[in-house]
Amino acid sequence: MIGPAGLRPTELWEAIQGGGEDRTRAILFKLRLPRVALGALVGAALATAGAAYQGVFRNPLVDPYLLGVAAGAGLGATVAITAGWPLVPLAAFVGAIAAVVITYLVGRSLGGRTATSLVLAGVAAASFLTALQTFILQRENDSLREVYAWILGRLSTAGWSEVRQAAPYVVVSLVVILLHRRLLDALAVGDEEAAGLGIHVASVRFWVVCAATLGTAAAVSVSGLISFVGVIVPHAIRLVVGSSYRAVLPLAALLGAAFLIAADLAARTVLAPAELPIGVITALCGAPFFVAVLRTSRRSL
Amino acid sequence: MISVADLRVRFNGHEAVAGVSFTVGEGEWLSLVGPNGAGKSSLLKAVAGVIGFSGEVRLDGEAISAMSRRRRARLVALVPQHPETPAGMTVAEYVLLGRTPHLSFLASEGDHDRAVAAAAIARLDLSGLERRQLGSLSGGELQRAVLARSITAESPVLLLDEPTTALDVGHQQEVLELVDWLRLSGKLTVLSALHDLTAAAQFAHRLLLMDRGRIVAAGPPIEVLTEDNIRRHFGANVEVWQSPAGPVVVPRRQVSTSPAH
Repeated sequence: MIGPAGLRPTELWEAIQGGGEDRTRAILFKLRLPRVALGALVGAALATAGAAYQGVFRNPLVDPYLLGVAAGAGLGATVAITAGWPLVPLAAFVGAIAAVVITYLVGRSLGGRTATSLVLAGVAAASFLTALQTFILQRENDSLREVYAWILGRLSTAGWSEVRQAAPYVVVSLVVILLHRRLLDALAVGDEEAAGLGIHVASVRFWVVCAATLGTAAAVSVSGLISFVGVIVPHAIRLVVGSSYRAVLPLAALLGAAFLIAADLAARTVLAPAELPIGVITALCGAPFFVAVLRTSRRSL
Repeated sequence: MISVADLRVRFNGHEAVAGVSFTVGEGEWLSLVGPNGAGKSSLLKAVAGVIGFSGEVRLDGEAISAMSRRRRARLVALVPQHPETPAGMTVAEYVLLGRTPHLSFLASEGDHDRAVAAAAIARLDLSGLERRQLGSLSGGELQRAVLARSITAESPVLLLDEPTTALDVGHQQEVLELVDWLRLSGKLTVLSALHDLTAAAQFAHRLLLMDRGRIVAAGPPIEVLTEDNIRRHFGANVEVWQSPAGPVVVPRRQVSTSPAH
């Protein structure tokens, strides 16, 4: 509720009760609240998807942008921006899903449905899609700035439309992932042993990856590329409550939301009235944290 | 209890198990022995249903290929050669995973599941270690935790793939005695693969000697563990001594390289 236009607590209270000045109400309900809601949605989606990918691939450093999600979304957005289409988020969404489908098919053709072949396919798909994006940007110099701003990530809202747009996908993604929390714990013992416990490993992996990708794509489509949330939030939670996904997943949703709201607050106020891209804030916090985590958990990696 | 007919497992065009048939009776301990690459692990995985195979595996007369994954997992528990034991998982969480085959998709463990897991922890003498992380356990404790998880499934068949690799002689003995005690007290049927021929002869009722995917000898240890069989299939020059505890397999040293006394 803090921002460049100073609102006193008493004014806010009046606005919440439906009184006060129109301007105050407008700032609260049309600017600040949608932005907080969007931050919560994006943060919850990215952190939960991150934890889910980490469970499925049994690697605590995997992030939601693995499998080419970011590159696909970036290419989709770039195409939309340079072509002047109004639906940049939709294009990013389609790009992200398409990238994962490509990654999945390539990974399967590499043999087996093991985590490693999927991750390697993701790396290949991401390089290819990023190259396409760079190629388009080279030819369309004019939109460079706009694309760049999107890649850095930002939570800007025009009323509630972004929230309405992302919320259904994020909710579906969170529900599907949370339903698999017990099975994700069982996957921790490896594919073969999980199969020995009666789990259809390929199917669990497929649904969780689908759900996590859907949530990530929805988040990326409204906020651009906000990095590190999906790695540092689940990690911080594991340091405190241990590695069970039953605790990690719900907490990731809650703390991911809280973390992004706080990061957005910083992004809006540090250089007020100018705004920093929120991706800069998360990366500035995230990268050192990431190194610290690597140092403490080196033995178990 | 277990009946296997013409079982074949194929990897990249190579037959790891090339047409194997045998049965294991209820409460019996049968052990596979054979050189590296003989197909012992593949055979165990096929019986557990975790890898593809052709031929037939029946448990109590029912073909496992016709069972649901969970039903099959309620009947057989497999302890792999190198179990993956996530360092950050606690003993209690790990052992409770054994109940997975009993839980439907949306269910979570109930009081009964926790009681079964707690009983398994107590049976394997892990009481007091429930909250310890697997990464902090000793090799012997870890192997007991793996066994506790496998009996928590309450399956009538236990498959053990080299359960004593990487354990010192004391822990090897402890683990094999435990398995035998579990077998007797829980009416388990045990099918294992063992490298240590002397131990296999001591604990298993019957041995199957495998080489290149086929069974080349089968029967009581005294008939399978002959100097001739071991030379032919392991390429090892050994003496087999008959002791009151069963055949003892001792490598024969080349005289010229023996250490001087």
